[in-house]
Amino acid sequence: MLITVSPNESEPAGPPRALYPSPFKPGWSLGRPNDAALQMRILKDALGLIHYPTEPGTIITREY
Amino acid sequence: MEISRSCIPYTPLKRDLKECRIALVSTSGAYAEGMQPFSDNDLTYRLIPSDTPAKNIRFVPGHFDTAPGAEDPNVMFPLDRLRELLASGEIGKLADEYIAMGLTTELRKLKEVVSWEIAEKLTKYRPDVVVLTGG
Repeated sequence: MLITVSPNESEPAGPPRALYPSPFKPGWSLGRPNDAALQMRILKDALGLIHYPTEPGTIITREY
Repeated sequence: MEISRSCIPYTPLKRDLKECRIALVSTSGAYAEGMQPFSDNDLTYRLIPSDTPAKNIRFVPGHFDTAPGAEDPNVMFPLDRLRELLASGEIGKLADEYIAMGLTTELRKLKEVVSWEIAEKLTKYRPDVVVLTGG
């Protein structure tokens, strides 16, 4: 389960399940420092894709 | 270099997350206090115990802004968040160790050698789910 903030670079690797938490960038890919609720939301959304009926290799974008 | 020319390695997961063992693999350059920091273009990796306090995690600056990670390592290496999920019963177990890598441009060696070493290490922990994070 990939959490990527560089979706264009990640896509050629063909990740089986992937989340792009927009608008975060390298250095803070799971959200803002000391914002545990936001980080947890992103992590849970990523883990939730485990059973999500999407085509493997698709990077799901969610806005935060 | 195109990294993947083969099928996407998708395996359906039949278990509920609360029955799953979770492992973490990160290319954020995370290392624990007392470990050797990553150097430039480094193909090595660090095994970080999953009970490591988040405040003991460091990142090597240079390739992206590591100030957010210095303030709160969970923004790239979510140790506390995974422990909270475990405590709440939303996941079953955590792997004993997590794996962190630095940044490298030696993609061929990464793909043909190092990734297999990491996969072998991961297999030992028997995770059901591996969370992959970058920087």
